[in-house]
Amino acid sequence: MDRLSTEELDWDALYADLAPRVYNYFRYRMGSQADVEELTSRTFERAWRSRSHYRHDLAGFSTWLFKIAQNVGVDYRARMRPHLPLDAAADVAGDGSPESDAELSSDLARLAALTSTLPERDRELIALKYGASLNNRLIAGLTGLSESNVGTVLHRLVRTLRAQWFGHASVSDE
Amino acid sequence: MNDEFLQRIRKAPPPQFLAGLKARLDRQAPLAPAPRRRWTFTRGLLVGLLLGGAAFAFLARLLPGPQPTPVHVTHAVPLGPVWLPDHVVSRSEPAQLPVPTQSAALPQRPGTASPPAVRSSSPADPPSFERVRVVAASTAYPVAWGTASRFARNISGRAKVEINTANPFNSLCTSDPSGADLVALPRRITRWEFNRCSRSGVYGGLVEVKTGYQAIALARSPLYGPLKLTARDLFLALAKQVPDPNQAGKLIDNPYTTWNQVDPTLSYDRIQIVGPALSTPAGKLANALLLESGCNTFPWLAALRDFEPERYEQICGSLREDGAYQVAAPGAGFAYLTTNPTALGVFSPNEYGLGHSDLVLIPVDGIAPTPENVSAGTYPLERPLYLYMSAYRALGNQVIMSFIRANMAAKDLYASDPDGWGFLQLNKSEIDANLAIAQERRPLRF
Repeated sequence: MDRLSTEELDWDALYADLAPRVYNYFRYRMGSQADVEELTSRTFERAWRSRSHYRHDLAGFSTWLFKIAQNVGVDYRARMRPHLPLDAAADVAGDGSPESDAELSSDLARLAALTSTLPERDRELIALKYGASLNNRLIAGLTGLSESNVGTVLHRLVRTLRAQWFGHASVSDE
Repeated sequence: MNDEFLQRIRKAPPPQFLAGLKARLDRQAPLAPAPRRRWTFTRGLLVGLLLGGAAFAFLARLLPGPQPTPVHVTHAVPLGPVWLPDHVVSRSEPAQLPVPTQSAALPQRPGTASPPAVRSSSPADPPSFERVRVVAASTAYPVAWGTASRFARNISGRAKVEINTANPFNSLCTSDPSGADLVALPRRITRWEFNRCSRSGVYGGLVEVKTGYQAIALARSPLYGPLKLTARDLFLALAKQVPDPNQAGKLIDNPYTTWNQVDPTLSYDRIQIVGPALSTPAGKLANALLLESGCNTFPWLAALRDFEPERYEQICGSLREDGAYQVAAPGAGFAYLTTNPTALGVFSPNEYGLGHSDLVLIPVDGIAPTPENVSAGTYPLERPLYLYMSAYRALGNQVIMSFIRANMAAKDLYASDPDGWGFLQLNKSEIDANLAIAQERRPLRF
């Protein structure tokens, strides 16, 4: 109904807020650094090109953008299915120190290993929650689950992952 | 809920990447004025006319009127394009393979544009079954044509098969009775095509049936053993333009002359591949399969397929023309490879299987072109063949079903047939599964 609202959005602010979140969404979703910049670029370029079609009354801008990111990711995985290594080395230049980058990459590879056996839906939930830092309501809108269901599934996922991460040492729900 | 271990994996993107992307976005065209909702009056008018027309039709049926004179109705003949006579296959017309010029629509022959009378058709009015009209994409054309030729000969004149290459999806995605009964494609339809087709009035949904594969095999003299090639190596060695290794996103004319320039682990041998003439269907297939898979390993090139398909086709479909790819006359490739042991030859997998064991097959990405690897979709130089049909048009149409079966059971026919160059049959379980889909007219869902 209200497409004119696109003209009122502060694109610079949106970019500053959402670019790191899309970037991290792809890091968590792909389980590696490989092609994360490419996918982030593709998402924003596709969104920018069609931003006049964004309708404020149908969805928040971040929901709209992450829907595009999801589609970009699906296309990419379909195209690259035999080629994408889950534990690819970190070949994207980072702004941290080599030590911190190595540690982050190591954690990322570890997360990728732990989530590799999870269903697609659960990996998507992890990426949206912790990579993109979206709240449960937005995640529900993107995944088709109810908000309470998102919370429940995430709670179980985190509990399971934490147990595996820390070697079954701390399984409590604090 | 302690999830700090998940939070800490987050990382800020490199500032230079953010700045570069922002600059690229800023260079894009400024935000166009949002399209405004229009046509309110026109929409109202159209709705009014439709409702009025429906009411008029209803009343006209109720009111008594003069009885219509019985009219001999011409049986429905799905209309082909105006160059149809050249491409109708029947017992009386021996099949000759007209090589399609392009996948685009072929030019109309003057003076034949008026179609013969066609019975009006509606969704409640099943189509006639005397002919099967198949529209094939240009590189799926030889296989479809070969099958159609034999099929037409084998069904004793009970049906005719018309086949052409003009606008495959426009012919299928229509409620027009003159549309295609089957569309043959060398790939799956995209989600975009599926959505467009669904919106365009395909009654009963779109049915997808996989009928086989097209693949090429690479081989060379056993003197130096097989080369360890990847699909990317092949693209870099044979494409007319390749990505500049020194500048991301830029293309340069192919500078590579030896395999070790493409990949230092490969041998210092001249890049030389012999294969079928590029103007033939086999050559077009070889061209597409040699380049496409490797091209798609560059994400920024693969992305062009969605956004700039013409440019994608130009980059990922253009073989270099400086002699790296040489044309071998039919049957001459084996002799050439024997005398040039560093050259590679392009063969049809079934052609290679005809007793030429004096060459060694070259795996690509470590995968050999065996039927098992092809049907698993892991061999890079292959692609599946699909037939698409409207579930409504296939309703009770045994000729369509017979034609689909003929496509799947073509192994023996194609073994030495130029129409079947590169064709590989489905395995038994795939045949059973796809025949079941066709028989039940199970609509495709994305």
